[in-house]
Amino acid sequence: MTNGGVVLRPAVPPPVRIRQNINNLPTNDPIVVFYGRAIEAMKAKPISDPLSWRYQAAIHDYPFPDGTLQQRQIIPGSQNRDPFASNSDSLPADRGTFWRQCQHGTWFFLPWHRIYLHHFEKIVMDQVALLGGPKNWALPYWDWKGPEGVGRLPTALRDPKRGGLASLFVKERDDDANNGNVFADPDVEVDINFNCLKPSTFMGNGQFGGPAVRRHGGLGPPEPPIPPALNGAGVLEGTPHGAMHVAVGRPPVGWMRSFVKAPLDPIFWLHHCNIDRLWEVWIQRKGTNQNPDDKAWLDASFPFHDRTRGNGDMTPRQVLNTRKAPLSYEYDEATDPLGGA
Amino acid sequence: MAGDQKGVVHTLSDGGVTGTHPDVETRPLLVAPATGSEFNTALLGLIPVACWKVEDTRFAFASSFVTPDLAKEIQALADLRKAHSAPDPATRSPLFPPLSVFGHADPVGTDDTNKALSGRRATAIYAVLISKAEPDTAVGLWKQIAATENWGVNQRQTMQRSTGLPDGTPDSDLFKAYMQALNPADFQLTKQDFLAQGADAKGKGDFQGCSEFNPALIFSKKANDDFEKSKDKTARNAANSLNRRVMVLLFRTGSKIDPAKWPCPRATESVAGCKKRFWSDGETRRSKRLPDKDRKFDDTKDTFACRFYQRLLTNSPCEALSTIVKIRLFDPQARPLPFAPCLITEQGQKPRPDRASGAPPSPPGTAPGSPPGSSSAGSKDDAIITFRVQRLPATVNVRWSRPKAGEGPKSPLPQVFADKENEENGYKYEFDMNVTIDIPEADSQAASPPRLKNLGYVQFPNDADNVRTFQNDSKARFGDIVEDGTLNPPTIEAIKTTHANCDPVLKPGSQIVVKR
Repeated sequence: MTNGGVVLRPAVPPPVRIRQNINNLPTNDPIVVFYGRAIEAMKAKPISDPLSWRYQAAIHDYPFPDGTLQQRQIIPGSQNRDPFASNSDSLPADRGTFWRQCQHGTWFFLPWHRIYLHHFEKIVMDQVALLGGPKNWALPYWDWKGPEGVGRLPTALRDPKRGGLASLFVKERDDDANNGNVFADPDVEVDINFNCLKPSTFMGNGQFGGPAVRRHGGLGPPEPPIPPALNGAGVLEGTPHGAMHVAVGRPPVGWMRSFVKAPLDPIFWLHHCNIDRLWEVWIQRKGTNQNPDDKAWLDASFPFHDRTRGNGDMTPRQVLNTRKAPLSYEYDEATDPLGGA
Repeated sequence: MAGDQKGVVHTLSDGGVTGTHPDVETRPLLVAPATGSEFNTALLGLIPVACWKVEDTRFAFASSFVTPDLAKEIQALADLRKAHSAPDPATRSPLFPPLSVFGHADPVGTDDTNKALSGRRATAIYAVLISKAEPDTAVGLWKQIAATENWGVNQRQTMQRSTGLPDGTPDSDLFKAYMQALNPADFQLTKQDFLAQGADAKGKGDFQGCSEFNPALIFSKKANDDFEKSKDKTARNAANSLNRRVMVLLFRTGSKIDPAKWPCPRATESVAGCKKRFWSDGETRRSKRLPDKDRKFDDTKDTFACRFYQRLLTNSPCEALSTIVKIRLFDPQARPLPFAPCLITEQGQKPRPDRASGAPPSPPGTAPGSPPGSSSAGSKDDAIITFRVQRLPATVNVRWSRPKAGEGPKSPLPQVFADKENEENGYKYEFDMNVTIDIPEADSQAASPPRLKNLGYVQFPNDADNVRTFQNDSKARFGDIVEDGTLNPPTIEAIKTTHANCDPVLKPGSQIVVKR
């Protein structure tokens, strides 16, 4: 190539899968149908298999992983117990490393759940491909404002008598939710005014992302111990994240309000997918909205299995741009609902 | 970019170049004793210290009308002039290097026509530069050009858009406002800032046209025959754009010439004055074609017919041929992204924010079927970023995003954070690619992997799977492709065509509207 003249080059970024709003997908859309079928396949695997439905849930939290069956199973008045615990369970040897890892009340809430969703999505994707589903399957997200208004469960997850799919149905939810009625208050639980997007700082109690601590197992003790001033959570983690968990999982038996049982409900993953989307919206909506540049945040490593049961440990630094490998996804909508305000 | 022999390039944009000429050794003056009735006159040679080139792309085709983008290059001229200023020994106020403007046309057409056109282009630039200090003169010059070239609705619309002046504004006011707006706020030149200081009413010494006498590039016989065979002259005219240029030279501070002794004829005069200054073999120099190799002034220094111009420009970094690099930006589904904000980083240079060509996305609801941030229709000239390089870089890093709904020409570009440690976080652009520029065109086998990479086929660690994905996407378009993961001749040809036309096949998910 010599100098002089004109050279023209295309720049096409690597392909990404698009995470879509489940409210825009018909119940018989392959994305929805194969989500249910993959879950059934994962449920058929034993809890000792990292690719099983129960193992994936236990990564979030698990009661008494070294305890007796009596300690693990549901007893009256206890929320955080394993509804499927049985004598025949063979718990995996690596549970001490990979289970009960969920990060709440910390600035790792968003990146940890992004990594969690990423591995889960890839595992489901492989199941979908095995079952002959779409090769570019991506986890859909649950935008709490659907075509029928604010605060209803997506049709596909409702009671099958109300048009839902059996594979995506869990009866341990708010009855109104499963019946397709409004079950969440738009202002209080859904945060229809998007106050969660308004903080201009990531780190800190009451800021967007949460205080600079690391915790284990639900709201376990912080490591290292912290002064009380650092207790609390980011705004997004509180409402809508926590508020909607509690609303879907209204007592007495709702799974979504328990750290242990929430991931056993298929809506959990769609709910967190929307939380993950709101992180992207927050980042894009203002030039000054920035993730932490602290290495303590960027380079903190979290233990995971990948889709091959191999090493899937990841750090927040690796998940800042969802369009890059290995994440390779993006949302079909990241417009700022506040219009830059 | 620096070179001892060629001086130093300071700025290189799609519309122009600024540079400093290499130092010229000044010979010691030998002065003999003089008697009472004699005196010694010691004159320094006329030495250009720097250059500013306005590329053809800043003019409408075969016209002297300059486009609004010229403002970028005038800023570069202002900086260059400041860099070459020196304090007056007596007053300590800065002295600036005086300027002279040389217009050049390409070899298509007659010498006389091109002398006139190149003269008008030089005049147009001169007028813009003095338009703040001497608006009446500047407007007068533009009116003459406008009358000669029959400027009409197109030029008026461009000027109205740029200045915000309404329909019906008289030419004088419109020309004045448009020309003045092309100059940076703190930049204003007068006639005295030019080499002859406006001593000649028709600008002799200050601005002139060189017709087609000093081509930077002469096509080979083969290339020329190919161009002439083709009915459509677009390719020929594009290749010739390197010859259509306006060169402004900055001379040593304190330089001044007497128009009567200046060799170049006035911009409005005939070619006769030029031809007097030719090399004895000037006609051969400017027209001889080699069988299959282009002749370039940059390589052989023997394509200018005018001896005087060659003396001034021999080692000018502005006469070195540069390459225009165009990169067309897409989203991951291979939809082009007109108006995309982007950040271009050439090796060893600071990141430079820009926007891709084309109209901003329409606000939601105004254009059914063309959702914001995506482009279904649109011209092939859309979604392109353009810049110039002196040598082809291996790769250029480009970061870009989809334009957001409702963004317009005045919307700010995404902020650039000086966060080197953690650039992914700091820059906030959606996409980030090292685009391969220097592709081994002659070896189509070796050229295929970098082409596939530019086309986004990189998701697999091994080439065979990437090739297979391309084959799968392209089967429908190129019927003779088999999906076997090998770089066989039909696949290589399909990759080459897709890449050369910047026309990738849409990828899965392209039916989904992505809102930003």
